[in-house]
Amino acid sequence: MAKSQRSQIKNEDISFVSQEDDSSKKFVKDDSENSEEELEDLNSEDEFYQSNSSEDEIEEEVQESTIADDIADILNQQVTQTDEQDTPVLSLSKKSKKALRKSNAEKKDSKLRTSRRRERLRKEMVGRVTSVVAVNAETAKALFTHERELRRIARRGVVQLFNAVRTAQLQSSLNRENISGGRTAREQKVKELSKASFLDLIKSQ
Amino acid sequence: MGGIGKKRVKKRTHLKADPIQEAAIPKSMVIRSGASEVGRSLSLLTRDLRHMMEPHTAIRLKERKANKIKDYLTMAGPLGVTHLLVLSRTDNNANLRIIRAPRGPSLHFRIHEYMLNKDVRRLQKNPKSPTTEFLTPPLLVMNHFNQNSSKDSPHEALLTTTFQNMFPPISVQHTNINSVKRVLLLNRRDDGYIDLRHFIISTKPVGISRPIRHLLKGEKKDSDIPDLHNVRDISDYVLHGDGISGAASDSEIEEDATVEIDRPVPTKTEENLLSASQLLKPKQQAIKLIEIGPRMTLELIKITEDAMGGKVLYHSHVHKSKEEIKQQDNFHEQSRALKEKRKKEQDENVRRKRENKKRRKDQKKEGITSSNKNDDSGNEGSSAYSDTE
Repeated sequence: MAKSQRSQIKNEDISFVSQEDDSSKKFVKDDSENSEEELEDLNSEDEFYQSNSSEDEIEEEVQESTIADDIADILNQQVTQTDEQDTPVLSLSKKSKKALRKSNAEKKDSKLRTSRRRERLRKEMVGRVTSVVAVNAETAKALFTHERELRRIARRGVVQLFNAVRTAQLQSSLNRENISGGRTAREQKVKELSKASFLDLIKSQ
Repeated sequence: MGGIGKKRVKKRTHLKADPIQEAAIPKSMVIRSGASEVGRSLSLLTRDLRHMMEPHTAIRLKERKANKIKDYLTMAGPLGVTHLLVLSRTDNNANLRIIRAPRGPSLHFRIHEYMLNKDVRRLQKNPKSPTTEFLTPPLLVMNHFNQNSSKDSPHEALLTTTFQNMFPPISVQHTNINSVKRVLLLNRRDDGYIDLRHFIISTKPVGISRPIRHLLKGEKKDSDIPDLHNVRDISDYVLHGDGISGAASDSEIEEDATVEIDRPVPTKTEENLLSASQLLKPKQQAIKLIEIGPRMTLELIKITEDAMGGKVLYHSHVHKSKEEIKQQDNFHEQSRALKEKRKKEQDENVRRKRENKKRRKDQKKEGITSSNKNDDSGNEGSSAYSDTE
């Protein structure tokens, strides 16, 4: 146990010393490096200044040339625009041109189809009246009067026929009691009488 | 109790239809010329006309484009169809043709105007959908139609007769008035057009005021009892009605629209209220007509003698002088003679070919007998050879 404790103490001392050495070394190196860098910086700064001045000169030359070219291009474009009267972007785009042509064709086709269908419906509906729309009061009155007259005629016909049939049946039932003979002969006579009297009734009415 | 294996038949309940009477009832077909080519509107009109012509018509007849009028005329005989109503259309006109099957005559009409059932229904405030009213034929009412055949206009009698014969006649003895549910009106206008209208007949009791009618209606159904909690005295309700101070409603029954009908079996209330003599008295009923369509305005254009083609008996636009009529008669006479001649020739050809065929068959039989003889001789030779061995 004592031996292990001693070894531990020794190790600790050794590590502590090494750290101090490292830190001291670093400080020394840093100083040296800084001094070197400063020297380099000074030299480099001079170089940068020289390069900057040279670049500025070059840029000025380039700007002069580009401005001239741009002016020339602008002038040329203006001339082309006025001549063609089309924006260069749309005239050169094939996709939009194709789409435009296609939509025009579809529109024309749809219009033709609609007119054809309308014509077919007009022919199919020949003579049909879907609703009664009176243009003015006199027309409405005439239509209404006509319809009411038709209804009255029909009702009068129904009433006449119902009354005639009823009267004929009553008479036949009365006559049946008075007629002599067998059942079959009696039915025949009743039929004949009823037919003749029925026709007379209708004519009289 | 019936024979073994036979189904029981009640003679008095399940009445057999008399075949003679059945054959006398006119039957009809409503046909579209060219099937669906006439268009949707006329197809709907066809359906409406079929309902109008019920019950003696083909309701679910399906035409095909390949069908011709000749096909229907051929089948009209076996089926007992007496009238064909053919609807067709050109670009400017809708046409109706009434053909008396199987041999004519044929009446051609132009449909000047028409309204479908659904168009008529849309006009009404309270439209009615018929159901059982189509089980019995309609009553035909014709106005301003000429019965007698006159020299100036012989076609009018034919027109009248054709329309009358499209529907079964009314039997005076056996007609039950309550079974007549519909009325078909044909009205001839001064300008020659024919108006066609179709109504349902409904009857209502007359002589009873509206408040009392409402009370009687409540007797049958509890939900129909009117609300009387605001009425202090029953006399106020009976005299003035519910809220309306004696105003006559626009559906008041006109004077000439009443009909006497045998009183049905009286209800208990009626037995209690009415005396014996009143029970025996016939009840007054009011006739009310409800239109169900279709509406048509027809114009008679042409009448031909045959079902298809033939001599023109009447034309409303083309008028011919006597010489032209005689010329036309000669033409038809010559056509008939030529047709008979050709038919005779064809019959002769058929007879000749039949005889030739019979003769050729006889010759073939003689040939067969000779070949049999040859076979016999061959057999004899073979037997001789075996004898030598």
